[in-house]
Amino acid sequence: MCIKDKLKTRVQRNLNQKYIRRLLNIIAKKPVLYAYGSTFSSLSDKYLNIFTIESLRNAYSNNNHPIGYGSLFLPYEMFHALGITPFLPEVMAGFTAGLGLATQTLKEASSNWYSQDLCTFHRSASGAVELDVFPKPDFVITTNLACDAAQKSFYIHSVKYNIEKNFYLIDVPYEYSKESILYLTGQIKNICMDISSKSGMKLDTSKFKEVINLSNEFRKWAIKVNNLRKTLTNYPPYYNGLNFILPFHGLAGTREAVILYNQMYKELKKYLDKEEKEKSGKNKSPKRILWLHLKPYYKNEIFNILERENCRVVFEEINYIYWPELDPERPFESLAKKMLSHFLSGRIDNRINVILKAAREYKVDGAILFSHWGCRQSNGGARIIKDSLNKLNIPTLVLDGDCVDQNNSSQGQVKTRLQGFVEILNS
Amino acid sequence: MYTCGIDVGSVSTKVVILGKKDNKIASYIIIPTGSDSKNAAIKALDNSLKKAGLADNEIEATVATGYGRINIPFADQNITEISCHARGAISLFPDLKIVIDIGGQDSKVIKLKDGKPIDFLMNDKCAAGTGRFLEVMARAMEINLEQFAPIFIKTNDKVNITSTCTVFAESEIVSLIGQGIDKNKIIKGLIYSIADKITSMVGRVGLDEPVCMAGGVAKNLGVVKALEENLGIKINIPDEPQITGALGAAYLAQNLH
Amino acid sequence: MIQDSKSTDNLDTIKNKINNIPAFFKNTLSSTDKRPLVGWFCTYTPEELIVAGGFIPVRIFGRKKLIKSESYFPINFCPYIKSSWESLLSGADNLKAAIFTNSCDGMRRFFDTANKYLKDTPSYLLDVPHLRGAGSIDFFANSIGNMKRFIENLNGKKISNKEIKNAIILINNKRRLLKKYSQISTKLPELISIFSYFKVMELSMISAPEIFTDDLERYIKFIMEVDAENMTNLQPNYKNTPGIMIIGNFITEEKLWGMLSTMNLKLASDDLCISSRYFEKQIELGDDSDFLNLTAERYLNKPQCMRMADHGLKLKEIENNIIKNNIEGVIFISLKFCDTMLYSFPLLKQKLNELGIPALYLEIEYNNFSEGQLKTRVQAFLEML
Ligand SMILES: Nc1ncnc2c1ncn2[C@@H]1O[C@H](COP(=O)(O)OP(=O)(O)OP(=O)(O)O)[C@@H](O)[C@H]1O
Ligand code: SF4
Ligand SMILES: [Mg+2]
Repeated sequence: MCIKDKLKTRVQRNLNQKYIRRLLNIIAKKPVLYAYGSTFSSLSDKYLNIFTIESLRNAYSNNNHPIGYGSLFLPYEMFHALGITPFLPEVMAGFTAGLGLATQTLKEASSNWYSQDLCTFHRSASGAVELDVFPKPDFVITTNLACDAAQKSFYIHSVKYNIEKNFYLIDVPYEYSKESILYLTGQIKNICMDISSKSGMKLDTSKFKEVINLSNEFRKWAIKVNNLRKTLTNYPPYYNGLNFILPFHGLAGTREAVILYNQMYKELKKYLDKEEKEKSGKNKSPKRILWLHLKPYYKNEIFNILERENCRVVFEEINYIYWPELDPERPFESLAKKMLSHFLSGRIDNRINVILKAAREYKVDGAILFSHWGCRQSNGGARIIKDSLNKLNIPTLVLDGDCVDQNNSSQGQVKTRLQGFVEILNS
Repeated sequence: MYTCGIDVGSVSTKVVILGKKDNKIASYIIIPTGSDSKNAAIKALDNSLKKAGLADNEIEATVATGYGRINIPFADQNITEISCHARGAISLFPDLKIVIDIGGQDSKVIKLKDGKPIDFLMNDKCAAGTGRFLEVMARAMEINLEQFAPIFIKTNDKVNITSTCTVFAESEIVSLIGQGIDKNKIIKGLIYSIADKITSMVGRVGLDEPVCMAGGVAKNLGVVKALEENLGIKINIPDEPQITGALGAAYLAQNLH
Repeated sequence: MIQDSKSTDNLDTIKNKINNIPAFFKNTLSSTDKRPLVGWFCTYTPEELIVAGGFIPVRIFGRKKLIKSESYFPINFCPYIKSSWESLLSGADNLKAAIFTNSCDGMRRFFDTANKYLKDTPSYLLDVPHLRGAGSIDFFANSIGNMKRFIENLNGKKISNKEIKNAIILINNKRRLLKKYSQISTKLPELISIFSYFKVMELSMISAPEIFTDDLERYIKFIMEVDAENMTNLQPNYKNTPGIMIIGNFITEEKLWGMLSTMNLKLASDDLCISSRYFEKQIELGDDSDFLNLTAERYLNKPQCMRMADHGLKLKEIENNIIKNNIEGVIFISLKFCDTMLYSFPLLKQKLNELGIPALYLEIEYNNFSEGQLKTRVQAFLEML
């Protein structure tokens, strides 16, 4: 049994906060961590895992830093500027899937009256909160950007930990406008001040500047990576763009995110150079796929099937850099603009524009929209997305499934759909 | 020479042996898949060879399809039901735009352009739009599937079957029977509930004529009638709709080598 | 005709009379008002502005039999949206325009869909904040201002301050009467059936407000007169009937209201967007003539929908209602796949447990509504009380 599987069974057997803390303390020790890291096939994967473990260790470690639960799409730059350790329940829900804990957490959520029809990212996280396996937060911060689920489930967390007073919703307006920027800037600023006065962590402008600069640097590398990928067809076998969620969220504004993307750029560049050299000898070039929304985070066959059928995911919508460079002199306003620029905010046209742009730039042959059961905002637009891509003659598969709950889809059906789709691409 | 198409479905296994020169069906067979799909495949092939009076080596190529397609030792290639049903249906009705296949556990709507699939939909996790569901309900009402069509035609009224899930629908039907409601009306309601599901799938890919319906449930003329009514069109049904996938597989086997 | 012989009537005849809604709302139902219609969906839409623009605001109730709309949305999607889309696609409502809100994910995608596939009916989305408080009111007033411009463009006519004020007075009056009617029906469950109650609520949202308020006023007057005469012999029957509160979203199933009307229960309070969340709280007209701001304030501070951020406040509202109205049991009915509603239940349940109030939890779909199964559950719940 490899180290990863061992970890998995350990956690499954001892699903409690204390054990997780102990475990994290052990593996986050430098030599162990690097030994663990070296089990990954690339430096970028290694860094991703190491940084994740370190940030989890911080969240679990009861040290003096306040802990803030945060939902996806928040401007995490403000966490780092304030010295708040972020903890992301939705990302953790992905881990519950990967570690085989989701059956347990989802069951717990059900018995606490979470309807079966709700998004499993949130249901699984809520189950984990009910089971008391997450560290206790000092603040709970969330947003309505993208979907309703976060603001609702996070409020429940705040009640569960008795800190409703420290619950904050960043209310992102529907449209990008002058008034919206004003409204949102005011909110972000007020929340930062409020947290600062409650936590005693100083809101230091030079710190804020530093964080914003790092965020910009990450952005720069991410754009370089994205540009590189426009010409890349053959990827390192381990590479999956849907794994790199943290740099866009919890790690935004940190040096780690910069290191990670810098490394990723180097790796992919090396691969591209190699590809160029070997170009002549290549047989049939793979079909280029655009991936929309997320993927299952439990063990699954989807990407192996695609690989076998000679298909390659050449871009994922979630990796699109949607926001303009931030202004270190105007941090609150910049972050407000960043949120308002998100393509999942407002009209579906914002998202469609990104999708069509990516489809053209990455010269895709087909698109797969992973239709995560219970995700209203994404699935509710599936028809429009499909129709828009079809207009460009890009076949689109709406693949039903669940990102977290393994029991909510049948492998056989997934396989037939993928294979049928590839047959269409090849015909 | 001949080619062979084998469709190992969740309910039944179908084999078609197709003449290469004349594109004539030399023989076909439908047997239950049972719990051992590999075994069913071997048995079905043996029987159809016997029926056609052919020997093993007269089959030039074999394509397997259906959910059990991966497990067939003697197949040269496996291709999904989507491509196979499309190919089979096209061989019968050349200008086809849409193929509907309702089998035991899956229902599919396939959109064609110039005889080739360009889009398709499969039913979601819920099985309430499939043949198995009909079988379970028929059993609950102690009625033969063959009786559905005559009942559908002679009954004017229907009960609304509201549950979209097999499990709930079954308990709903049991409770309707318990209330002493006319079985015929329940059956008519049941047929409509399936037809409605398929109708919305057709709506998703966009209705276009001509339409062909294949798969075992196409033999259920009640469902066909209800669908025709919903869609407001006439649907083409092959003489033996259940073997359409296997027939398509046999055609696709001609392209091998 | 209706008013003659009431003192000699027995209880059943009186009841039949009072529950004959079409007779009382004859004018509303046969209205020949020619003003064009503007559709709306969510109770955060200020009808006042639609009226001020010279239109009749009509809430879309949807067509329950889905034919075309199913293929636009996933199966696990809000039934209200699907049935409303069916209705828009059919064109039967004959709308001049439709006004959406960003109330939830589903509604946002509904607006996108209408925008894309409904070419002949202009649609507009009103941005409603999730927070309350000063900044939000300013922001919302500005959104309402944008909506006003959309309405003005529909018939190329500017809306004056005076028109807004008159519309506010009109809708305030409608809300006042609806509230009064609601109080009376709570007091006189023996006389007014749950079915009638919701029928009146429905009419209030789909009719020309002027005619409707006239009819309602007359109706209320009639009930009060009956009540004054029969007070003594009506009250005792309902002594042992449990006071129930219904909490839910867009529940409009007539079969359900009919079924509840035949059961031994008293609808003592509700938290529904087709009832109290619609008519509670007035726009306070004072010296201030910034009507958009006053409107924004009323809408953000009315009993809130589950989509708002401060769920603690919502729980407080419900708790107050329970105590004030002596509620003995809560029926929670959500349309399936309504995330914000469904997420409200875990904490609500906890609160109800603290208060010692039993709750019945139901999720329904319009077409997925089996009367038999539901009846058993409600009945068992009432027996338990
Ligand atoms: N004579 C008949 N009359 C009515 N219905 C029939 C008849 N024969 C078969 N069926 C229906 O056809 C269904 C089986 O169809 P089919 O053989 O196409 O399924 P399958 O291919 O095994 O399943 P799948 O493709 O979903 O894996 C049965 O469940 C039954 O409802
Ligand atoms: S998957 Fe969809 S519903 Fe779930 S958290 Fe993400 S956006 Fe929200
Ligand atoms: Mg089949």
